[in-house]
Amino acid sequence: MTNKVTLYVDNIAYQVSDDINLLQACLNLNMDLPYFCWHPAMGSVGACRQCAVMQYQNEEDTRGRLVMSCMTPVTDGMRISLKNEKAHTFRATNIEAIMTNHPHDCPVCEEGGDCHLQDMTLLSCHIKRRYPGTKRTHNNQYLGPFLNHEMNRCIGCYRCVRFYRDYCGGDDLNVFASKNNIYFGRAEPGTLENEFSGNLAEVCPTGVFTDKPFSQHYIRKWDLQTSPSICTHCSIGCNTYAAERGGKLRKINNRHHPDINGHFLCDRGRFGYEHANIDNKTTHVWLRGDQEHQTNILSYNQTHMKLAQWINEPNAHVIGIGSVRASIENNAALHKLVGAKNFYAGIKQVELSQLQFLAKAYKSSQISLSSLKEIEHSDAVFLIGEDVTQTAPRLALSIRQMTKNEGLKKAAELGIKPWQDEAVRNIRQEDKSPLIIINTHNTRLSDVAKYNINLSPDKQLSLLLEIEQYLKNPHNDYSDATLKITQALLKADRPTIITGTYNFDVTLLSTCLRVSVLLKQHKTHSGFYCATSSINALGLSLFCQPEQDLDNLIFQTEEKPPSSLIIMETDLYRYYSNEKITSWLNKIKNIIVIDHIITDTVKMADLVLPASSLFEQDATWLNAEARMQHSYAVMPMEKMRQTSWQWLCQHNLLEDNQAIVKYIQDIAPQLTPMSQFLQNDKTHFSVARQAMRSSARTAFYANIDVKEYAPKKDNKSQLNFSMEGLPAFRQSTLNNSQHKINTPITGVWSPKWNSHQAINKAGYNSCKIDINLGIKIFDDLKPKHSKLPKLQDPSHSSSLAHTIVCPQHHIYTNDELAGYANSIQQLVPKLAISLNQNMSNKLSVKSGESININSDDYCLSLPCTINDTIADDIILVPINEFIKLGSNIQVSSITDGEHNE
Amino acid sequence: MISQIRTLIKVLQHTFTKPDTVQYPEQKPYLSPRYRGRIILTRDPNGDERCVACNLCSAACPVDCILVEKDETQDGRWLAKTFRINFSRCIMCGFCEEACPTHAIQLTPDVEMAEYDRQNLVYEKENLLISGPGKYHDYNFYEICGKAIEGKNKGQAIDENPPIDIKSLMP
Repeated sequence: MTNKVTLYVDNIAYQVSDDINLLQACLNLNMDLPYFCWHPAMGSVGACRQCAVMQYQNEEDTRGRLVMSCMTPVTDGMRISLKNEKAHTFRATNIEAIMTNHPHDCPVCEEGGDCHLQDMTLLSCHIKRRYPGTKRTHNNQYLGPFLNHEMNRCIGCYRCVRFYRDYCGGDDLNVFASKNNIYFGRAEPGTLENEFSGNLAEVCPTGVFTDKPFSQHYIRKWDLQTSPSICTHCSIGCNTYAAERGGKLRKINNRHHPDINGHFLCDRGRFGYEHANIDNKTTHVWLRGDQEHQTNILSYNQTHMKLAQWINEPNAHVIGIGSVRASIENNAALHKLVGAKNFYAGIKQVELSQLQFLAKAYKSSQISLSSLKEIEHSDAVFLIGEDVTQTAPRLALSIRQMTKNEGLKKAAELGIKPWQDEAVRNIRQEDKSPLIIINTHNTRLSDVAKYNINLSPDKQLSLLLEIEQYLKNPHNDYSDATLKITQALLKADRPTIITGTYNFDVTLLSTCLRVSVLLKQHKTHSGFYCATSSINALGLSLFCQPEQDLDNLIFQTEEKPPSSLIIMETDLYRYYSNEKITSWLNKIKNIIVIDHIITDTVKMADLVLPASSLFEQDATWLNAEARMQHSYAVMPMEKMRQTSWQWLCQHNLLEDNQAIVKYIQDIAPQLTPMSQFLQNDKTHFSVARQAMRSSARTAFYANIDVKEYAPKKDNKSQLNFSMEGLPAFRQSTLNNSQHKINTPITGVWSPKWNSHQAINKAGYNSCKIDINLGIKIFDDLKPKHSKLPKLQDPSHSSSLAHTIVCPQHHIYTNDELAGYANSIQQLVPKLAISLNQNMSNKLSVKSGESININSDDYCLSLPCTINDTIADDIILVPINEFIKLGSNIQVSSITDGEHNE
Repeated sequence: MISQIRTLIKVLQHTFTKPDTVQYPEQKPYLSPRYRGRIILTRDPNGDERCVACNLCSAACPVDCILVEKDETQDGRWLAKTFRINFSRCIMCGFCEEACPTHAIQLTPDVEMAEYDRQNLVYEKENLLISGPGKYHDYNFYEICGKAIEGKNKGQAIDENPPIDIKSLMP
C-alpha cells in the first residue's frame, strides 16, 4: 500500500512514505515547518497558508514555486526547500498578518506556554510587531462548564468547526460573519452539547477555547508533573497524561495511542478527574468508636493489629468484595486474602454472567477483538443494544469515523488521498458506510446510521436470532430488516459487530457473539467489540467463580452473615436500595472498607482504610477489548493513604508487586504477560515526571519549612517525582527501537515545540514502545475452531431484562467517579423516565407527571418525558435507578385523583 | 630589584588614597536607585495589583525561589493567589523584573535583609505589595490587553476597535 519514495529537502535525500502529505513528511523527518490548520486526524484544507515551501521542478530549476506543503502529495524524486529565502519570507509575512489582530494576552492566557501559535510565531521568526493599527475585537460566549471562550485570540484556522462539526457530528458550534470578522461560536450562548467538546482546547492552536476546570486551578505547563495514565471512566481505557502539582490533580491531556484513543478523549474522561481533589476523601485510618459518632484515628501498627485480629479470630468467616474500578493487582490481593471461595465481585449477577460469558467466548472462539482504530477502518458496523455515546463515548467517535470510509474508498478510486479533506468531502456527499443500529431509542449516532431500528429488548433478540438463522441458511423468507442488515454486513469486507453489557441481557449478548462467529466464517476480517461497564470489569470477572456476585452474596449471607466483610473500592449503595444494604450491613460484625473517597458504604464501615486514587498508584487494567494496560502514579500518596494491595500485603503474604503478579499468573493464566509491566530496574533509564523547567522548587513548601527536603522517592516504577532522569523529549526524538529504550514517556515535547502539537513532530515514535501499547491477552490464544460456551442458565436474564423497563444511560451519570467532578455535576440531567406517546397513553400519563415503579427491592417515582423515538412497550429508567430495581417490576402511574384518595 | 621597589612605592601610595570601603553599618555606601535588591510588587495607576500570576518570573528565576499561583476574579482579572519568594535563596539577579510583562515586579535598592531565623526570609504577597506604581507611573497592563475586565469591556482597550457585530451583513 504505502511505498517509500525519495524526497529531497534542501538537496538532502530522505525516504518517506507516499501516502502522507509533504507537511507531515517534513514533520516526521523532525523538521521545523510551521502550520495551523492541518491536523493528523482531520486532514488538510490549506486554510492558513503557513506551511509554504519552495518546490523545484528538477535539479536545474533554481527559481522554484511556492506550494502549501499540507496540500501537496509526496511524489518520488520531489525537490523542495524549507530554508529558501522566499519561502521563509512568505511564512514570516503570513504570520505577521495572522498576528495583527491577536491581543496582548499571553500573560493572562491559559494557553501560554502550551500554545501552538506562540511556537509557530517564533519558528517563523516574527518577533516584532510592525502593524500600528487598531485590532478587531469580539464578544465572548458562555460555552458551559468545560470551556472558556476568548474570541479575540482567534486566528481563523477553522480547526474548531472542522473538528466539532465534521469529526464529531456536533451542530451547535459554527462560524459566523465573513472576512476578518469571522466568529467561531454558538448561535446563542450556552453549553456545547457534543460529548467531545473538551478536545477543542487541544485542537485550537491558540487560546480561544481553553480548559475551564483547569483554569480554576491553573498551573503553567512547565510546572506540571506528568505521568502516563489510563482513563478509568469507562471500559475503553483511553491513554491519558495526568498532570498534577502540589498533590492536586490539575489536568488530563490526551496521550496518543494509535489503536485506541488516537488524538481525542471524551469529556467524561477529560474532566472527570476531580474525585482525586475533593475534600470528601479518606486520609487516615478511621475506626468506629464504642460510642455513637465517635471515630478513632489509628496508626499503621494499630491498624494491622486490628486487621489481624479480625481476620484470624476463631471461626472467622471473611468475605471480600472486589471492584470493577480497582486495578487487577488490588483485586488479586483481596482474592488471596479471603480465598477464592470468599471472593465476590462488586457487581450484580447479570453483569457478572455477561462478563464471564464474554471472557470464555474470547478464549474459545476465533472472534477478533477490534481495537478502536480497526473499527474506524472497518466498512460496516452493526451496533446492538448499547447507547455507546453514553456508556463508552470514545467508541462512538470511532464509529462515526467509520461511516466516512465509503467516501474515502470513492476518493481512493479517483486517486485522491484521504488527507485531502475538502476534496474527500465533496466526493462523499451523503454516501456513508453502513452503520446499523438496533436500540431502544434514537441515540447520538442515529444521524449517521443507515438503518436505525428501535425495538424493545425481546424484539431486538428475535431480530438477532433471525439474522443468525439467515447467516446459517440464507434464503429470502426473512423479514425486510433481517435481509437489509445481513446484506449490508455481507457486502462489507471488514464488518464489525459492537455491543455492550449495559443492556443487562445475557441472551442478547450470547446471540451477538454467535452472530459474530458466523460472520467471521463469512468474512475473515470481521471484528467484534463489547463495551463493558467499567475499566476493569473484564479483569475482575477473570478472578471470580460463577455466581460470586453481589446478588448471590446478599442472598446467601442473609441468614448466616460473615464475621468480617472487606469491601474494596465499591459503593454498594449504587446497586441496591438504601434499606436493603443498610439492613444487610448491620448484620455484619466487622465491616472493613478500602476506598479513596467517602462513599455511603465508607460511612457504614467499622474500619476505613484510605486507599490511593488512580493518580497515586501504579496499576494494571484490562479494558473491554481485553487489552492490558499500565498506568503510573503521578503524585506521591497523601498522608496515610496506601494502595489497596499494600494494606492487605501483611496479611496475605503478597509482599510486593512481583509476588502479586506471580499469584495472578496462578489464578488467571491469561494475565501472564502482566510481568512485562514490572520493570523497576532504575539502573537503565529512570524518567523524570517533571519538566526541565519546573520552577519554584525552593519556594513551594517554604511557608511550611524553609528547609528543602528531598523529593519523595518512587520505588515502584522507573519514574521519579522530580526533574531527575531522562526527560520526555529526549526519548521522543530518538529512534526507540534502535536504542532499545523501553521506559514510559511522561510528556510530549520537541525543541521549539512547547505545545501538545509536538506529538506531530516525530513524536509518534515514542508511542510505538510496546509497553505503551498494552498487551491484548486473547490474541495469542486463538483456537482453531470457534466453540462458544453454552449459557449455563438462560433464566439468568430474567432478573433484570425481559421486562418493559430498560436502562437509559447518560455520559455524565453512568460513571461513579466522574460524578464527583463539579463541572460534570452541572451537566447531569434531571432524573426522569422516558417513554413514547403510545406508552404514555397506555399508562394514561402526560409529560411531567410521575410514574411509579415498584419492585421487590426498590420503589421509585419519577416524572416522565415523552420521546417518540423510543420503541413501543418500553419505558426508559435512568441507569442509576434502574440498576437498583429487583425482580417483579410493576409500573403504574399516579394521577392526581389517586393521590387525593 | 627595581620592580620590587616600584611595588613597594605603589603600595605605600595607596595608604594615602581615599578608601572605597565604608564603615558599614555605621556608614552606608551609596546605592543607585536602580540597584538590584529586594523585590516589591507594585500596583497600577488605579491602585489594583499589577501581578497577573503569569508565572514568567517563576520560570525565569535561576534559583527557583518564586512561587506564583493564579486566581481569577469574577470579572476575569487574573491575580496571584500566592506570591511567595524565598529570599534565603534569592540572588538578586533581577531576571524576574526583566521577565515581568506587567511591571509588577520591581527591584529596590534594599539589600539589608539579614535575619537570625531563615524562615523569616520567606516573603508572601502581602509582605511584598506596595501601594504605588513604583518606577513606571502610567503603565496599566489591562489597558492594552484584550481580556475584558470590570470597567473595561471588549474594544475599550488602547488600539482596539469596538466588538464586531456578527449579525451584520457588511463585509
